Amino acid sequence: MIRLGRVLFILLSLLPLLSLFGCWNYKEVDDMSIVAGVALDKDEKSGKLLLTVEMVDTKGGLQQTQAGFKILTLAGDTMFDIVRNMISMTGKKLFWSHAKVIILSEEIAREGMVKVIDWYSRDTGTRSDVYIFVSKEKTAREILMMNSTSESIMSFELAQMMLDERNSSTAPVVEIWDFIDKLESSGKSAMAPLIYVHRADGRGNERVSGTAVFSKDKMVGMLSGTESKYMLFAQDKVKGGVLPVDAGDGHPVYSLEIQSSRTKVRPSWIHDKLQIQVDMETQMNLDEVMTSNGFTHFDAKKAIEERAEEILQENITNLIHKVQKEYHADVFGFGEKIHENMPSTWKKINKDWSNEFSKLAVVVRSQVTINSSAKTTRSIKIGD
Amino acid sequence: MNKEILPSGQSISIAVLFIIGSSLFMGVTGRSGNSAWISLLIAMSLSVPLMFVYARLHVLFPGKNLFDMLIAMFGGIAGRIISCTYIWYALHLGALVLRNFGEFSETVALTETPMIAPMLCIGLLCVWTVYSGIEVLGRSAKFLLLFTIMILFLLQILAIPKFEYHHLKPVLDSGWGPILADAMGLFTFPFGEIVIFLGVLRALPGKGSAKKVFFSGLLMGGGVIMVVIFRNLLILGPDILSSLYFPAYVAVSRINVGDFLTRIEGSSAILFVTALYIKVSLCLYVASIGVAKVFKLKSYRSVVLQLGLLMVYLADFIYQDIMQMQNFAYHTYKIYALPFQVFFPLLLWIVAEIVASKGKQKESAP
Repeated sequence: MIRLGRVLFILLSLLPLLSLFGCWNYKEVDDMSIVAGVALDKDEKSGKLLLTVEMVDTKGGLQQTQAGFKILTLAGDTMFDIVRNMISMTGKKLFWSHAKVIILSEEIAREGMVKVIDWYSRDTGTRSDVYIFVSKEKTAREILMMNSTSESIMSFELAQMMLDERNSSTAPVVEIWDFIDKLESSGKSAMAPLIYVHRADGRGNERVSGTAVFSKDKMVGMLSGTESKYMLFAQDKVKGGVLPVDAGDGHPVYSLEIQSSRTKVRPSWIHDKLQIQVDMETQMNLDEVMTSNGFTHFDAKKAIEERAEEILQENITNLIHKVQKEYHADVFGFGEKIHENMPSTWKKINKDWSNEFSKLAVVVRSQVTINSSAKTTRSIKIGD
Repeated sequence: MNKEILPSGQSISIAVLFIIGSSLFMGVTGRSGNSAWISLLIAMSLSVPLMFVYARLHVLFPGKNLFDMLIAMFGGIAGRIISCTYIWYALHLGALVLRNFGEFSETVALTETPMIAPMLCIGLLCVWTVYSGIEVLGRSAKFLLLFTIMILFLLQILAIPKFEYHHLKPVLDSGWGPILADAMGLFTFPFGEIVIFLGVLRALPGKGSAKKVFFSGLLMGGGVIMVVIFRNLLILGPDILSSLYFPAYVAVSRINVGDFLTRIEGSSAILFVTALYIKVSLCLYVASIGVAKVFKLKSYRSVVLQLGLLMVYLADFIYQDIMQMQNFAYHTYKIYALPFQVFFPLLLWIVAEIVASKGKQKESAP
């Protein structure tokens, strides 16, 4: 009897082993294809979606210092359909949570974004912190293809570029959750940075500069890199970058480095008309003087500050007017500010916001403070 | 039958974890948008009278639990029938919470693992705990509460850079209608669910202690939920918030400290599991006690395993999919739960007061 009990005990204690097999869906790294970035195009012939995936090549081995990459393109009806069908080309399931960038062709962006980004934000394998770009080239995949010249993984390079973008402020940095957030909220239009191939001396290099402006989920226009900087000013998103300032004659002679900038947007009623006030306070450093007689004494600082204020006010006002007239898309989020501060007014105008937005009166005020002039106290004096 | 005693610190811990249990990851209904915190305040103040009634029951029936009270007041048959509905409610609630966890793990964590596997793991753990007695539950709750609050606090601090305070404006954007509807929802889920706690009243020491337990549970639990609501709202904004099944998980996934501390949402899921474990265990305990009382068993321990397995199985087939779960939790539940949370306890209280005052008259008459 006792022996039977002991046998039973041993058998029972073996039972938990069944649950100790470990992972239910055990997968080793080399069983997965790690996706680094995606490009989305429209197939010219069939009109279907064309997905190009850049993958990290895990077969590199120890000798190679840099991981290789592999590029695959496949057409299909829906995003998920293509993604799963890619197994027939890679033999492995794609692993998405390390993907860093999505590049969309202009055609796709102009047709509507919801159909291509919903899967990305819904699926559990993907992460919503990937950067989104719109390609200014004919196709989006040629950007990813560029890496045949640069020998490194293009998607990771672009992600690094977005981290450093704050030092130039010529394009917005947009992650996909941010994009969807702007799509969903009323009184705010979405935007995305533009990417293109910069060609010089027969060689091409990828470049991110400029903004694609969206109305609802369709792209309606583009802003240049300089305009993007002023747009970021109005959105209170400027973290750095350089502002060239002229001495009043149109030739830039000073470079001001943006240290910090704060923008406040206030809607108000003035003479029974809705008006938006954009107030900016910017701290700058004088970092370049390209003339020998520009910055000679203390009072010159005041003049440069005033000139910088004028430039900012003028350009930002022009930019806002341009977006109002040409695109009717509220990328500045003025509508949201009205919603937050004047809920009752917003209820009346939100139905027709893009129209109201294009008629909105906007006043821009800028205040620039120059904090330092770097290492030298004055401009270079030319001796005789 | 040996009497088990819960020190008030432990019972408060159970109450707090019970209240925050599934709200930690289910979040709050999205209809009131950025005014959800007002609904929470309304729901908390609505719960105050209810807590008074529950605490009063403990004073009126010292040393008895819900099922003893029901049978004492409504007689052997009617009392047992009402007790049966409460057994069902406890079992069902435990199953619902387990299912929340199952859906959570299937949706965001273990997408290819059948839902029953994680639910069974937690379910068996709860069976073990309940079998070991309410004191074990109390001690683990006290420890886990500290742990939960520490992690919540840490997450809250890490999330501060992602806060966008303008999401709070304008207050009362969608008017009072959705706010009141949400307040009703919050009142039944999670605050009213504390009615389950009546099942363990006999383990509480002394006379006034129930009041302390209920009110600290309400205040601390409400405080934690408030903090979580604000965090989710400030990170995600009302529009995105309303489109997510598990907003807390997504909100935490946005945390990014210097591109170094990222992807911590997986570890924050531990919180959900701890709070849920307490909630399911308490439901299972009360259901077992109820069965033991109604069927005059010697000890509730003989039915714990059976009820626990039933609960896991019930959780597995109770909904077809996550959309049904969402719909039930946010729309049907607030009506379904009212009899258990409000009507029966009120009835019990009124009858008990009448009986008590008659008893007093008798005492003073001769």
